[in-house]
Amino acid sequence: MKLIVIDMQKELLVEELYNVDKVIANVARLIAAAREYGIEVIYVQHDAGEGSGFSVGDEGFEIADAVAPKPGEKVFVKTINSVFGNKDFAAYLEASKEEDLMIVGLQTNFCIDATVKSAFERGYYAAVPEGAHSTFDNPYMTGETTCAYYFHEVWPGLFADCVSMDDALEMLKNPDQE
Amino acid sequence: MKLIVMDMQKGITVDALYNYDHFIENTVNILKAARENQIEVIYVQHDNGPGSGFSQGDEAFEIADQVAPHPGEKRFVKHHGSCFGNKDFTKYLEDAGEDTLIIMGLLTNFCVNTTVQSAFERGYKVIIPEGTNSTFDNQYMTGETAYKFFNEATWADYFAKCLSVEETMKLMKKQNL
Repeated sequence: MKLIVIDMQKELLVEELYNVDKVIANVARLIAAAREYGIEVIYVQHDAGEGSGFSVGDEGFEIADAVAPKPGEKVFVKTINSVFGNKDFAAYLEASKEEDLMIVGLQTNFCIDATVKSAFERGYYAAVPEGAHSTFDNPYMTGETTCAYYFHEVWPGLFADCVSMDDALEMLKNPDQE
Repeated sequence: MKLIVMDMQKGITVDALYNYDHFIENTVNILKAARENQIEVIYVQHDNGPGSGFSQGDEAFEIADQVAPHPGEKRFVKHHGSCFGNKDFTKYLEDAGEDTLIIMGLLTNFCVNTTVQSAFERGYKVIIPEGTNSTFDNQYMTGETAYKFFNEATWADYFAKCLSVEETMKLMKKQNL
């Protein structure tokens, strides 16, 4: 099992993000548990390109303090939605022979969805903990409905196991007992 | 440029789909234009497994008559959401050296969305003609809202170029010059 923390960057962690405080708290809990149980935490940051204000060097690009990487933890930068768009990330995971991923972060309907689908297509088992991903309102749905739609309707049964926080913490503690 | 026709199978090509008549009209028109312009048409069919009622040998599994393949056109079978889950499909496209895919079919929020994202990740340019994908109502949204959410708020300007049928046809003609 590896914990993949996607796009928990300052620019996105603002109050318009559905359930922002809870999401930060849940992701922080999962990261702490992973570290405690010797599960590798891998960070991915999104770079929208130079001049976008959301790029290497920009304040908004930085990972939020509450969920920041520790020295020695891997951080990959991606420029498209799916973390597998970064070939180094994809090669690193392949070389590790890891088959199980826990996926958390932002945003539910973009990078998280694209990553869940890509992980599935590549043969990984993916777990997504409840309340550890989020997104913004869009013209068709609120952020809350969007989260519920993906978590309850799109991913389960096929692409990912959508689990409670308690079950996710248990998975990190006993990763081989699924 | 290749045209991918996804999961337009009898079991789900039914009038409960959002904007069904428009969907059939547009997919038929795009299909016709592809053939006229010698753009290869590739069909993908979804197989839910034996006993599911939506598997090889079942009537529901067959491609809908309105968009049925012509003799010699390629057909692939997939067992999960993304066309790229079928390694033969993936390799066939890679070997073709193709860089642009027109994607149409069913269902907007499942196989089409997954395939669009996967195609994008693999570096393909994706074109989605207006009204050539559709889906059903679900617990969270009507089919109409799901269609608009994916076509207008998710894919457009990022994963795919969402064009009108006329614009798509112009591109099809152009690539044939």
